[in-house]
Amino acid sequence: MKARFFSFLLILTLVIAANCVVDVSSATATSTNTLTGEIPIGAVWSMTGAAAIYGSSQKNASELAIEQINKSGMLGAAKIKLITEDDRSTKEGAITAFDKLIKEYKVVAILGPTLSNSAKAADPIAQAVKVPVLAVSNTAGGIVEMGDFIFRDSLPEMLVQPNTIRETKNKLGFKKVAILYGNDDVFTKGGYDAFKKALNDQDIQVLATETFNKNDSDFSAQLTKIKGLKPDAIIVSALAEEAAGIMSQGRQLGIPESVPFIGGNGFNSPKLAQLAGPAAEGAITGAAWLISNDTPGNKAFVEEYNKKYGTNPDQFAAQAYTGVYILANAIKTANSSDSTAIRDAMAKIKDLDTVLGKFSFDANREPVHSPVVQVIKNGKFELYK
Amino acid sequence: MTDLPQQLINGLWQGAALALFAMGYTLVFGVLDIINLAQGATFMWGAFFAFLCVTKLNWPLWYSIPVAMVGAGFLAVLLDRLAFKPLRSLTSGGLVLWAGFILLLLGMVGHWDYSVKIGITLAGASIMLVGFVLDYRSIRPLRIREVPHLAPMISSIGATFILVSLAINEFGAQVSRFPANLFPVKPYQITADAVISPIQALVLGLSLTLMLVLSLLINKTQMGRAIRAIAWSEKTSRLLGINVDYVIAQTFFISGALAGAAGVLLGLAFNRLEPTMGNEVELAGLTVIIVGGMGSIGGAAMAAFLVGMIRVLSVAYIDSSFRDAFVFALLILVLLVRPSGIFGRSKAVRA
Amino acid sequence: MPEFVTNNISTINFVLINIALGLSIYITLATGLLSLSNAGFMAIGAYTVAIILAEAHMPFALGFVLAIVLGVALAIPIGMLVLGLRDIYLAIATLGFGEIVRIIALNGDKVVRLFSENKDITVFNGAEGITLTYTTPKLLLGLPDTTWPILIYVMVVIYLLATLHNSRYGRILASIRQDETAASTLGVNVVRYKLLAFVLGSAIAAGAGALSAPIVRVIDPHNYVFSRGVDILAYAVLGGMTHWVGPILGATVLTSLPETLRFLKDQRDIVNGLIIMLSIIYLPFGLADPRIMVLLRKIFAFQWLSRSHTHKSAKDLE
Repeated sequence: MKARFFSFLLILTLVIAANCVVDVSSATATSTNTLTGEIPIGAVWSMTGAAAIYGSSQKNASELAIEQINKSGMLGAAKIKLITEDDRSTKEGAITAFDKLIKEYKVVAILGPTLSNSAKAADPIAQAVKVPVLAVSNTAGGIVEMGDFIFRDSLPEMLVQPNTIRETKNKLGFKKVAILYGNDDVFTKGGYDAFKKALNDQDIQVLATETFNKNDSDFSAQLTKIKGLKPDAIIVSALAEEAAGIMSQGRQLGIPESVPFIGGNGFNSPKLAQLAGPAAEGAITGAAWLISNDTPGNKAFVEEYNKKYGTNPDQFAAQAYTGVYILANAIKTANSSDSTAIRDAMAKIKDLDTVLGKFSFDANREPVHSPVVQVIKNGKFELYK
Repeated sequence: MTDLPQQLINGLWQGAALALFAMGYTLVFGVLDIINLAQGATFMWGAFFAFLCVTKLNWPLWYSIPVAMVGAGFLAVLLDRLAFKPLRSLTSGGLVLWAGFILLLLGMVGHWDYSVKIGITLAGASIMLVGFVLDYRSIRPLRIREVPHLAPMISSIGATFILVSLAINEFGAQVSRFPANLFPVKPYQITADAVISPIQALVLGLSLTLMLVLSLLINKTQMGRAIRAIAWSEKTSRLLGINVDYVIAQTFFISGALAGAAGVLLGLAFNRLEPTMGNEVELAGLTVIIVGGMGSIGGAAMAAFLVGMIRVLSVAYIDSSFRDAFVFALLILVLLVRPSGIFGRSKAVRA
Repeated sequence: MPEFVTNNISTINFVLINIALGLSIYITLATGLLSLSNAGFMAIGAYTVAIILAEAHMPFALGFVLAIVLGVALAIPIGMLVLGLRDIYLAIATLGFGEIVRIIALNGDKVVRLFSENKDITVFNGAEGITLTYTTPKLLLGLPDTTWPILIYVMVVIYLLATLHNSRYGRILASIRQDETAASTLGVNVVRYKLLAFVLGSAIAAGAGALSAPIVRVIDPHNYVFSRGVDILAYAVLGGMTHWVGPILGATVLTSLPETLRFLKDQRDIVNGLIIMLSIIYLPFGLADPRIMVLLRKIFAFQWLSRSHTHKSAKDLE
């Protein structure tokens, strides 16, 4: 009995060992103070699973950026090697991806991961070994609080939406609204929290608060309820797919055009107009980036992205693209591929020209740049005036 | 409460589409005692078949829907041959079919040069065809099998993974939609407070029509009689000379066609097509067939309207977050109180 | 510790947790019950520990014990309710229970607020979940101190199940699986033993969930969606449902496969699906197929026999 037990334990260990095939990478991370050779940078995106749609934008944008940087010779003789891992939209995936990037590939910095909760699970690993992490799509609370090596360039909803509410209230003068938000996703829930606070601060009455789940396709029940209460505007914190459904069903149910839909960062995707068609006209969103932004390099970025991937980039892509450039700048300023030097250089970034606008990190490593409010006219996003 | 008429309308047309889906589900269960968890994937592929017809071939909608139904029907038959039949009897044709299928998969998802890719895919498809025919014509299988009772269910789970991944490969993980101008959008006013859009009206109308057609099929035709016979007793049907294998294929075809129809209709109505669209309807469908009684088509239809209503009304009047919990609670309640369902035949449900 | 262990320690952690989960469903499968509620009990275990650690600020050990107690306490009434159902109905009912747990975790705060004065209280914290703070694991004898509890737990569970397998109780459970009616005519209290198996399985799952909390550190409802229950089933199906080695093999292969197959990247799901289908069709008893075991035994026995044979003949020649 004992012998059999232990022999199975042995088999177990062997099986685990056999399965954990370790492929040794050929990355040479030079920890010296000169920039030569290949500098390995890791990226963890959700390329499969629930968040795959966002991960693919981010992968595309980051690869485009790396290509451009290496070609331009921005880092002199050195080239950045981007190692991308898929976290399968799970925390386990993110943890193992970070582990692999740090221990095996010995990356000097990590971009991502896509989802806020995966970031909360995996980032501490990097923090503990002093590898800087630049979040490009995490908008929840508690991200940069994880440590001084954790940065983000994605404006959290708390910093974007008060501006949105203020501008729209000024122009439209609404007094009572209804809110509809996705309560099972950290991104959209965070948006709701931001909107709620902003509405409260600006004395706007909330007639009703309805919720839905991610991947829901039917919102008729909630919208019917909302329609009956006759709000002046409907605030929606949802991702583009659900937002499109909400808007088209809302109009189908007869919610008049005079009642606009106002949304958060999730609206900011070319898919919104694509999916909602005419129902998207007049949708207003507060976001971190406008596709027609007159910011340095933005036009070229949109063109290049279109050329390479055949579609317009969305906000996820823009923030990932910016993230790569931020890292590259930090490496250049530090003139070193040492993780701590890179981190210190990043913390000091001020008024960097990026497609998001003039970008700086504040004392807490949060992003500082101006958010925008935009509206859909003729199927395209325009600056809201 | 003034929005009650509207909420009722909402529940009605959604229940109708759900009924289409559930009837196919319960049909397969009644005949084969299998819960085909890949029904959701068939539903999704039906929607995408129509999408391809409309966008790539530029066919009109009234033509694309039947084509999509036929396509989904064949997909369901293929599913049976690959996932379920080998569990009943292993035939040499079946092995060939599988070999061809793996080759096909390699061709479809592998990163080959274009010509190599086409070559491998076609080779796989032709081997599959050979295997399919061989398997169908085999009189004496290699082995008749007794497998653990849950094997078909688990096999269908694996099949779902594959079907969904193929869709992601072909269409991307994101949401697609039908082109905008297929249908007039302006809603009809039914009562003072309730509207129904043309698409939703189509969903309701088409679903009811198909349900009627199905019941005629089952009750009035030869094929329907054969299906009912096999559902009653497979052995006896064989003794009576019914070609059981062929009828099983027909059953799957019907169930797939219904699921495909539901997929197109819901994809149109919500204007949302994505590879994972089968998940949500799958769980709702499971609830429906249990509440309605496994194997009872009429029961499935009625239960679908019930479940559709509950989903809509629970969001409207209680709390939107608990909608799924209500559906599950109903499910468990029915399982405990009247497990054979409201209209089910009381097959042994309690051990 | 060998380098591959340190490099892959997080994968090893997850493999161990999944082994425990696979074993939790094995015990019910071995009794002929298809119960898919283990993801729900895992959630109960994880949330209990998370709430104890993050909000009540009490030690982990207390959370662990509480998790198991809670698991048992919930499993008994649930079991009594649903275990009378056959097969597929049981599967669906238990799956429904798992989903309900997840929905409660997602929306639990709304209910808590009804009963508390503090209207902003967050216990479950909805979609955001509970986050536990990270402490760099210390190395104890080469393994991090977060891995040791899981390893010990797995070994204890294996020992328990192996003993059960060979004991009278194990044979009773197997008899229920084979033919329930026959077993009950022989005087077996079928209801009691089914309940025993169900409660044991749920407790193991709750314990596994509790132990997973410090490793995953972010406990949110998304961890416990319907597909998690299916994954757990897959471990048992692939590995084999008739012997406790089965879930170990199944969990190890299926958990580490995504890591080793990273080069396949987007096609991972197709491979997963193929593995499930092919193994259920051509290996319906899983990798730990009793026929394979018999075959292996025969091979080893043959070798042993032939060796002793040659010894004999060599001696004869002298």
